[in-house]
Amino acid sequence: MDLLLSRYLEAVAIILFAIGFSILLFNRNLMKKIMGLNIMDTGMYLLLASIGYIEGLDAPVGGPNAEHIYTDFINPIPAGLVLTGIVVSVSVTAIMLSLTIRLYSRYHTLNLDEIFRKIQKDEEEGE
Amino acid sequence: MDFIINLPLITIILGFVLAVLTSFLNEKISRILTLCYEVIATAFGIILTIYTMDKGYIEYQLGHLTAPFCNQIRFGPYESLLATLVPTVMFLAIIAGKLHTKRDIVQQKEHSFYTLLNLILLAILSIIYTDDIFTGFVFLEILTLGSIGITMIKNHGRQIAAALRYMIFNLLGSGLFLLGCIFLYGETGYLSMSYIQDVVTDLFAQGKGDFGLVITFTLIVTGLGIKSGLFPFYFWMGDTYGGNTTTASSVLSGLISKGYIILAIKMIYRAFGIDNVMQTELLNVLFVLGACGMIFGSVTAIKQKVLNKMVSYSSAAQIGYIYLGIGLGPAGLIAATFHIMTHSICKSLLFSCSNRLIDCSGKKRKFENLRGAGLVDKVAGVGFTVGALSMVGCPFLAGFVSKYLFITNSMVDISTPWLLIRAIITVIALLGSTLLNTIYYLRTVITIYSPVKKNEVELVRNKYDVGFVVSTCLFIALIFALGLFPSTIIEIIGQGIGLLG
Repeated sequence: MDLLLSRYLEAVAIILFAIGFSILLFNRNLMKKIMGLNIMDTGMYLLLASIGYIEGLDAPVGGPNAEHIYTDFINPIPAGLVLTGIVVSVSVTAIMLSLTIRLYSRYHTLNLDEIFRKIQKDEEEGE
Repeated sequence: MDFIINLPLITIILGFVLAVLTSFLNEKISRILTLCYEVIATAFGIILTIYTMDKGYIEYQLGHLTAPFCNQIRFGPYESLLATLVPTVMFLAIIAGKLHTKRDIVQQKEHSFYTLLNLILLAILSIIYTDDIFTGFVFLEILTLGSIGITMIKNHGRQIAAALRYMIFNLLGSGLFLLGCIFLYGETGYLSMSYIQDVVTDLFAQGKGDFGLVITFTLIVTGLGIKSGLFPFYFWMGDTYGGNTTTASSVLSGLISKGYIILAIKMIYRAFGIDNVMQTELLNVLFVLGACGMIFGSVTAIKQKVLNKMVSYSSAAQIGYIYLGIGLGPAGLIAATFHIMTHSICKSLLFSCSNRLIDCSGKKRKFENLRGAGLVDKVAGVGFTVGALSMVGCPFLAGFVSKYLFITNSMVDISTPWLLIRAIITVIALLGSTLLNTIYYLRTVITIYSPVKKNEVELVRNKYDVGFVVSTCLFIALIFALGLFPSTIIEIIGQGIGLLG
């Protein structure tokens, strides 16, 4: 319990990841799946940011005349990874949204099971 | 320093440049540029394979600093051989499916198709060459986005829904992979695979981090397994691969799934180190899942009533073979890599010929409508037959060598009871899967060559396509070449695996 409380950032990140993962996997509504994806990604960014943070140290920004002692700063690499991850997440969300719009305009529902039922019905009628 | 060591980076940068150019050029020039890129990438791959067979592996720093402060790519014979295979298969898939591409894709969007193919090729090549786990993740996502793009480009209702389902599973896999990478970075402090392996080895030697590293490894390999269609995550394959245009089906099934598997192999051998992984039970889990995939994938393929879907679910069985080989350890990896090559070539051939046979039947995909199609389109019939026989494992064809390697390499070490049981399971699974493959592939071959009366089934003579004929002949030549003269390739793979760790 003490470990969980002392590393609460990582614990919350994993909980967010699990929530987002299960929404993406189990929920049948397309918009909610997209939200689940974003919650999952947010959890991962929080985890990355918490890995880089070291209590008591400064942000990794130095002035032109400052003496740069690397042990005075937090780890800057996870912040860079988070930014890259956000870009990837945005691209993926954009594509999922465009797919959702196309499917909704064709089948007038956001329920994935309903969409596949209608597709099956169209194909049977076509045959 | 030889100029040759710059070739991998040149190939990747060329892919980026062509992806940008093809996004605004017309479809004819885009296709020509894409084909030229594949020829150049194949030539570079051959040069690098010959070079690295002599010089060993090369570590190429992408900046003025050295790793781990700067990104680096690493290539040896193993990576170079795979980097030769991928553009070759893509080249042949594009020329085989040219007519279908023109028919299935709106003319205004056709150039975008080639943009996506360029992105897919450079993503796979980057995954092959990378020595950094986060760079691997970024190109994994580029590969995912490209694959979604080519899945939905046909703009058919079912395809868009299939693309969405495929995307959901891919994102689940990506999420697990990224979480594993984050844990790995947190435990080791490095993103460079060479340095990660050193720290992992130290942690295992000290008995620390055993649990944490096992969880990390599980997350990473599970994520990549979901993306590549490892049992039981394969049921999206039917619609995703089956309903697509020829080139897209060939690339999705033959190449994209292999990109994920190659990254899994690199994570196991480069990042974790095979000696460390073999101290856990994780390879055995992959072995069992691979064996299950071989059987259940084939059973699912037998139940299909539509040709394209049967060929698609057959991929699930073949992915099972590859993971079974990975689960056998370094000896099995030789068989798994050879099977990656075999499957890429055969599956691309099968998809291109299936679509031509379906065209013969007036676009009816069910088996009963395909009777006699092989007699009408003879090239497609012969191509499908050779591909099917190779998948079944007939002698003198590539598939036979794959299966032979799986059986012999599973028996390299049978010193303990579990290793003996594992070898027996491999033989039983291979025999069972071969029998099941025979049922559905030979059933199809017999169907397409069954003579029909004119009023029974209406068959249409296909338009002659030089590209399809040339690509089918080249695919068949490659299958026979791998089947009759495999020793050079096996030697390259063996040497490459020795240098992988």
